[in-house]
Amino acid sequence: MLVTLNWLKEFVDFDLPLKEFCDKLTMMGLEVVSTKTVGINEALLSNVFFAKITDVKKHPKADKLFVCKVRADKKNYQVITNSPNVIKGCFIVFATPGTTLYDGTEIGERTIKDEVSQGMLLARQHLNLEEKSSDIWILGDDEKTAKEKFDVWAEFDVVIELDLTANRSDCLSVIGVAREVSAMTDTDLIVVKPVVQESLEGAPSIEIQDKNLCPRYASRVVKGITITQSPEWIKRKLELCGIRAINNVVDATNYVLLEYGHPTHAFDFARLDGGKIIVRKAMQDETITTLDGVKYKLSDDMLVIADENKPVALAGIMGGENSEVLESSTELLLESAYFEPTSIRKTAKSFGIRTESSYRFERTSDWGIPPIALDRVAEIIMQTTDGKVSALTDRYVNIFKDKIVNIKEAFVSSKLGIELHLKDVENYLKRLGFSIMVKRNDELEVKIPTYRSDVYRSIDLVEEIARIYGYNNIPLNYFRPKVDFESLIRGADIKEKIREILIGIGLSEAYNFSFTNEAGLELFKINDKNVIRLKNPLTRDATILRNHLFPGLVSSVQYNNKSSYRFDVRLFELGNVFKKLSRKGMHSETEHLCIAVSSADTGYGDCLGIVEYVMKKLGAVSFEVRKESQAFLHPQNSATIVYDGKSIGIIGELHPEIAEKTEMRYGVYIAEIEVASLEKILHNPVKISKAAKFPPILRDLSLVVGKEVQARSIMNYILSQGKWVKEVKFIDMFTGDKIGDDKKSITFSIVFQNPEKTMTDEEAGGIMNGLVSKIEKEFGAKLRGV
Amino acid sequence: MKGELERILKEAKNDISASKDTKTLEEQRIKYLGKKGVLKSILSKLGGLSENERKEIGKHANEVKTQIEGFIQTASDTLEAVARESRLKSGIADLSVGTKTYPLGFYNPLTIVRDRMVAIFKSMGYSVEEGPELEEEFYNFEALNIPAQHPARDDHDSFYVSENELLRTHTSPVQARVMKKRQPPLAIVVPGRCFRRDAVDATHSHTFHQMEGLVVDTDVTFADLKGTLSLWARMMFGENTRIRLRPDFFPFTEPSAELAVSCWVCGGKGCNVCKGTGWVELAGCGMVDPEVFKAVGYDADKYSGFAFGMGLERIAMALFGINDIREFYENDLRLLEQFVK
Repeated sequence: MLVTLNWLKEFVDFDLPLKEFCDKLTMMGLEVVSTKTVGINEALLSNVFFAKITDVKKHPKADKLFVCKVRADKKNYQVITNSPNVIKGCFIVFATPGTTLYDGTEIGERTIKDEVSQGMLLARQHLNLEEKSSDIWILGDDEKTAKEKFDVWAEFDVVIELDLTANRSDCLSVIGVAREVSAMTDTDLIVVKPVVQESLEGAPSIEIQDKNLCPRYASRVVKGITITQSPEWIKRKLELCGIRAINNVVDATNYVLLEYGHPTHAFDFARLDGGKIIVRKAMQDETITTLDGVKYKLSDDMLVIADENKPVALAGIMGGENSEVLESSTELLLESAYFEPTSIRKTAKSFGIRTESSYRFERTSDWGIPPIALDRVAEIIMQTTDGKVSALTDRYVNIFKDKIVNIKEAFVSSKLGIELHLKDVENYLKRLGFSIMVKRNDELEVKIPTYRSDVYRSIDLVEEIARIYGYNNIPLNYFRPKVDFESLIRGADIKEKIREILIGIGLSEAYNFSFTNEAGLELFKINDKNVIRLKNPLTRDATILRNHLFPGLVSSVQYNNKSSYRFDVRLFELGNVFKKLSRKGMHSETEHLCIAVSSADTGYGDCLGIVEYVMKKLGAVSFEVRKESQAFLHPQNSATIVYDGKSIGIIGELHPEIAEKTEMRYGVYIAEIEVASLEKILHNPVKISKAAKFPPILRDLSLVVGKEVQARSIMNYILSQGKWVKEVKFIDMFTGDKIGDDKKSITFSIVFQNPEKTMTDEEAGGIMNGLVSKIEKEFGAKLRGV
Repeated sequence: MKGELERILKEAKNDISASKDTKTLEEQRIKYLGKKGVLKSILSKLGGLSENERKEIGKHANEVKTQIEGFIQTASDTLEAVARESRLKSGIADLSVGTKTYPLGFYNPLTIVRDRMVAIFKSMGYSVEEGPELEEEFYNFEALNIPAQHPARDDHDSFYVSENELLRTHTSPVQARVMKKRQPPLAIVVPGRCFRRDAVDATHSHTFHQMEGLVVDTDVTFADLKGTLSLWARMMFGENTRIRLRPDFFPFTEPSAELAVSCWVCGGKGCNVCKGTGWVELAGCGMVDPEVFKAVGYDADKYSGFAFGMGLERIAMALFGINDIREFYENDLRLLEQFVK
């Protein structure tokens, strides 16, 4: 929201350096985001003048240029301009040589094709009065009006841009901000009550049918007016605050909107059927065309302002075209009402419109102000035209009550952590316009002003007190929370642990978005049956919640291949995936770990090696890898990771078709595992046994098995055979003619150890023989001859 | 024969002392003392001698043997000494390079910020909680005193998946979830991913990360909140960091504030990072609104508390000089490789 410094000063007398003023306002909770100096400031005062063009002739050597004689500050100048609109005798704004404008332009004296040009004819943009001017600023040829115009517009001022929080509807106006300034500087706020001469018989006829949605409606009729332009001082304020000037009536309502923060509306009274206003809910499918020419179809929960026959305004949001004030209008009905905020918000939102009016009403307007704002509108209109104003109609439903809030001295201290006396509390609250109704020993009874809809509890008063006391004057207390055993003993963070492990062996952590789309599902061969779709996606690339992490990581590999020229990529990601469950309306959100590796010399074994390392570092003694196909993995090189009898993830080579489509240089190997399962492994207690003192015996075992037999199953089997098997290692594997097409040969190395005594070769041999015959039976294996 | 032995002794002495390495020395040992060695073959000829002669020659032969052994020992010692000497003299050709390197892994900058923050609050006695990203409207809004049609919802444009389920717009719903589950005292931090229906550009992202903090106890004050945030800021950005609070508005805290920390780059003089203001705004915070306590069934008269929430991207951008929020989600190794620790 925009306000100007001078406008604020109409209501509160203060004198602070601009920066200090803005900082203080920000520290009160009204954040100043920018300031812009406009008009003639002190630096420009001795260089920029109201001036007259005393002569204009064409430049003798340039077709499009004019040579002007300028009389400014009792001196004569010659200026060259390309503006075709300068005529002899008109008044303009002139900057003498030596001026530095706001935009940094330095004005001097120069010669253009043998003609001297001293100084510059200014455009409005040079005084920051508008963003971009199309021509220089011509004030007309009547000296009196030109000078008046100049004096109004060129006055020095500062436009202050505020970013207000949603709760401070009371500050959406110049007076609202001035009120804060008054509290901040402890200076009185002076607002003169508007005065209206009631000279017209009667009062408007107002019927409120829905008193919940419109508890107050104040109105006056004005007759015999002329639609004309507003005076310059109104236009200037409106435009500096971002509202275009239109005519004296519309400008008056906008002026009051900015000044008091209360939206009002003017209807052409002659166009209201039956000469009356009915505030009612719309009829289903009734339509209205608003001032901006858009036609809306209404539903029966929306509030409209109607005459006897038709809706004439979308209540609190925008007036209707059918009752708009036209240049020919002579009679007005002025509206100043209070509308229920949520109804306004709902309607505005359902049509996707936001106006200065709806913005204020949906943030809760001041229910005490409608007649005052109404009178202010009438007062301003009457300053610009003849006319007669009717008596006031103020339909007022008694649902508003004064809010009284009690506040205890101890309560303030206990919330803020400062010692504050009741008389300070009283002083702060009074500065903000709160009235003290009753004063007790340790407690105040406070009446909340009608404009502070956001204050209704003691805690709200605490915030007000803190704002005046100054947030930054409250001391720091190095607070330590009480010991919370339950959560403190919970143990290591699984994700921190996983990151530490993977980063330790050379993987890097990726973060991908949680979304995919139909094309993504298709590319990555993901079944779409259980995916969750966004009801209101923003862009086409993010319409579905991810149910796997690997597509994101594969895309990251692709990105690094293509954009970073990295063909050795080892990435992992920890993130949540989402799935619909078969039970209607239910879904699951699961945390996954995904690993993706790709490089010239990376294979499936590297990927499994990483998984094995993670599992073992988390405390797993063994796990299984079961060959099982996945649509998005190579049909052969695709497996399920099984721990403790339960599938916890998948591993394999990215389907070559996908790798081809994503233009991977090398194969991509991926694993995706549930984090909860890894967490369980981490939280399994570790059993520590005494270090075995006696020497181990090492035996190699070479077996020929069917191709489908997984070496890890045999290793796990050997490990499960008795306490003397200490360790099993995979050594190598080969296939070939020598052992048959459907067979492979695997070699393991087994460590035997007896914790109680030195094991003999014979003992080891015995165990080995037993083991071999069991394995032969279990896996259809044959001992390979050496 | 005696002369023979003398000759052998002499030859052995020459041969042994001429041995330049352990291998030749071993050959000499075998030649003279081996099973089929010179000395053995001499002794095998003793058969034709008288007993006395045999005795004498045998004795002599043993002396020769002992002497040869002595020569070998001496030669061996010398060779060893030379070898030791030369081993100490010769070294690895180049000590500056390794032959086997291990790949480096890198942290994501968001993780670095998250971990640093979590570690700070853990050291103060906070525990870490998490909650779902796909959240019920009740926890995301109503429980946090943001009823339907509240204008504050304008700041929370949300992705919905059903009538009342959305991707959480902040980590604050976890406050409500934890409070519903547990009784005070509470001191938790909640790192996590959040979503808002914002178009993606250099400073906006529909996906971002926050860290929420919540403390509830019987007499927690605004001064406690300030002390906590000051401590955090000093641990995060340096001992001399100052904090500044200005009033702000969040429906779930009252009083509410926006936290700024003095710029750690320029120390408050004004620079690019703080856009010349000397301050960097990093967090929203405040005292837990009594309505929130009521919504989770806490006694609002008995308990007070404070809450705060920071955006991890914002902190990471300011800390590491990353200017475009999209870079956090590109996973470009050229960026990641700079985050070794």
